[in-house]
Amino acid sequence: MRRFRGPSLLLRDLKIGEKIQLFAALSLFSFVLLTGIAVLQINAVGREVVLLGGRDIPLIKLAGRVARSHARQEVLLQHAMDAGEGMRNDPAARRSFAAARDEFLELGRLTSQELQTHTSVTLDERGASDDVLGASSSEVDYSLRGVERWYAAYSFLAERIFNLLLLGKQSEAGEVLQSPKGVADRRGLSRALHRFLAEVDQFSKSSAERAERAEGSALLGMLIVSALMVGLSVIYALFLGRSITRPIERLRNVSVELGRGNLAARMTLDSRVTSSEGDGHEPHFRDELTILAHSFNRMAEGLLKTQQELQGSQARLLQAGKLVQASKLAAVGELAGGVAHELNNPLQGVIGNARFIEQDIQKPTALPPELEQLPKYVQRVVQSAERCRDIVQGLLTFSRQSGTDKARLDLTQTVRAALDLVATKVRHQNTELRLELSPDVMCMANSTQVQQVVINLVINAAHALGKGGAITVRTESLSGHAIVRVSDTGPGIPDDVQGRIFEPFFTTKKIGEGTGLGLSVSYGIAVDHGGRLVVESAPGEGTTFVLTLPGADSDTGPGETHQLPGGQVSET
Amino acid sequence: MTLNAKDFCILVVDDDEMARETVSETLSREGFRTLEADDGNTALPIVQAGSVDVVVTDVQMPGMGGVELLAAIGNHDSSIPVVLMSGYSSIGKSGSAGAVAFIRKPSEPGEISAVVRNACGLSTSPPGTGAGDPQSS
Repeated sequence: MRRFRGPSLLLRDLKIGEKIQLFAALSLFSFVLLTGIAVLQINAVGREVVLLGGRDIPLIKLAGRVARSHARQEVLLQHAMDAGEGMRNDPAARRSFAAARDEFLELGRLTSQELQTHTSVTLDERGASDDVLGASSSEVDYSLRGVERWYAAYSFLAERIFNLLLLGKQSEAGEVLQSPKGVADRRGLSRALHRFLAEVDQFSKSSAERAERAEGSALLGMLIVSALMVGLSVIYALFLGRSITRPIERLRNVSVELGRGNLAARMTLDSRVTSSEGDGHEPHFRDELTILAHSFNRMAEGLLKTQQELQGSQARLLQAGKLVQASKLAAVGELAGGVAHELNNPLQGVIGNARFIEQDIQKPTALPPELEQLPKYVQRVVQSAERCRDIVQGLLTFSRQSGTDKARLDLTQTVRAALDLVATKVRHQNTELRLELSPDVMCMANSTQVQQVVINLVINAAHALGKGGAITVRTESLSGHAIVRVSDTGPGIPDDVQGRIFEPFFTTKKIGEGTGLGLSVSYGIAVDHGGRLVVESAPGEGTTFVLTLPGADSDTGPGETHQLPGGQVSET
Repeated sequence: MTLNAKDFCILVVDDDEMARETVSETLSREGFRTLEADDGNTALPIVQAGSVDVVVTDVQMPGMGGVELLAAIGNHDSSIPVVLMSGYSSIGKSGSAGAVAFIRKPSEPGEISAVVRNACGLSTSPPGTGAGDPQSS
C-alpha cells in the first residue's frame, strides 16, 4: 500500500545524507548570516568608536591646546605691554619684549596652523559620513570655524599692539587693547573657545550615546537572529530526527510483528516512487529508509512465500507418507490378485480331495480295495494346505513387516521370495521370467524393503511389457556390493522421462493405475541402505534397473565413494 | 439306449497340477473318461484328434490360455462344449463368450460334475452316486 502525498513529501524524498547535508547547509547559512549581521553591527559600533577616538578626542585636545595657547598669549601680551614701558632705556626690557612677542607669534602661528588643519579634516569627514554624524557635527564645525575666525582677529589685534609697542607708542597700544574692538576681539575668542568646547563636549557625549545605542541594538539583533536560527535548527533537527527514527521505529515494530509470526505484517511506503524503470518491474525510491522498507517488505513477502511453500510441502509430505503406505498396500493388492488365483488352485485340491475322502469313507460298501485311494487324497489335501499356508505367509510377511532394521541376509533368497509373489502375474501375461541367481550373495539390508523394491521393479517391467517378452532377474556380488538387476525386453524409457522416473508422484501410467510412488519409494529404500538405484535404458532396447546394496562382508559404508556398477558413483 | 458318463471323454486343461488332477479325479469318479493337458498348446491337438466330447479349461495359463483355446476349438469344431474355469472371480468381458459354463475355483466336486454332466446332456443327478448336491462354502 503506497500513500501518495502532496509537495510536503519533497523533503521526505530526500536521502538521509541529503537531509543531513541540508541541515548542515542550513546551519552554515545561519552561521554566515549571524556572522554577517554581527560584522555589520560591530562595524556600526566601531565607526562610532572610531569617530569618538579619531575625531572627537583630537577636537577636545585641540580645544584645550587653543585655550592654553590663548591663556599663555594673554600672559605674553601683558608681558609685552609691561616690557614696552621701559624698552627705550632698558635693554633688558627690550629683550623681554622681544621674547614675549616672539613666543606669542610662534604660538599664534602654530595654533592657526592647527586650527586650519582641523577645519579641513572636519570638512572632509563631514562629506564622507554625513549620514552617521547628522546635524550635530555641523555645529562643531561651525563653532570651530568661529574659533578660527576669532583667533585670526585676536592675532591681528596682537600684531597691531606689538607694532605700536615697537614704535614706542605704549599709550596707543594700551588704547587699542582697551578699545571696544580690542576687548570684543579678546572676549569673542574666549567665548568662541568656550562655545567650541561645549559643542565638542556635547558632540562627543552624543557620539558615545550613539555608540552605546548601536552596541545595544547590535546585541539585540544578534540575539534575535541567533534565537531564530537556533529555533529553526531545532525544528529541522527534530524533523530530521523524526524522519529518520520514525521509519526505523516502524521497521522495528513490524520486525517484532514478523518475529511473532505475523508474516502478513508490512511496512507502509511513505515515499513516492521516483522512477519505475522497466515499467513497474521494480519501483525505485530515493530515500534509503523507503528502500529499506521496500526491501524489508520483499523479505517479508519471501518469508511468507517460503512459509506457504513449507506448509505446502509439509502437507504433501503428510500426504506422501500416507501414499507410501498406500503404495505398499496397492502393491499388496496387486499381488493379492495373483495370489488369490495362486491360492485357489491348492484350495481346489483341498476341497476336492477332502470330498473324495468323505465320499469314500461314507460308502456303506466301503471295502479295502475301495479305500485304496485314501492315502493319496490325504496327501494331496496336506500338500495343498501347505501350499496355501506358504502363499499366505509370504503375503503376510510382505504386508505386515514395516521395520527398517537391516540384517545380514542372503540376497538371492530374498529376491526369490519376492519373485514367488509376482511370478504368477508375470507368467499369466505370457512373460518369460528368467532367473540368473548367484548363490551366496550376502548383503546388509532389510528383507521386506528389498522385496518391495524387487516386486516394484518386476511389476513395473511386467507393466512395460504388457504381454509376452521376458524379464530377467539377476543377482551377483561385485567389488563388495550386492547387486540385483531387473531387465526387461520392453520398449525402453525415453531420455526425457528417464530424468523424472524417480520423482515422487511421477507416473506415465493412467490415473488410478499407478501412484507414481513405486520407483521413488524404491529409490529412497536404496539410498537409505547406502546403496543406489539406477536405470539403464534406451528406446527400443529394453530397460535395466540396477539395485546396488552394501555387501555384508565388506565394510563399505555410506559416505564412501566407490565406483558402482551402472557407471554411477555413490554419493551418500 | 441311454448315454452314460463313461461314454464321454472330458479334456481337463490347467497349468496347475494339483487343480488339474483334482478336477480330473472328480470327473473320473463320476464315470467320465478323462484326458489332461497343461496348457492350450498341448490341448488343441488332442481336441483336433476328435476324441474329446467336452473341454474343461483354466483361463490363465502360460502359452495358450483358456480364452484362446476356446476360440481355437470354436474354429475347429464349434459343437464341442467348452467349460471355462478360473481362480479369479470373473474373466474378461468377451472372454466367456462361446463357453457353455464357468466354474470358479475352488468348487465342490458335485458342482463341477453337475456342470460337466449338463454340458454332456446327461441328467444332473445320476442314480447310484451320493454326490451331486453342491454344498456352498
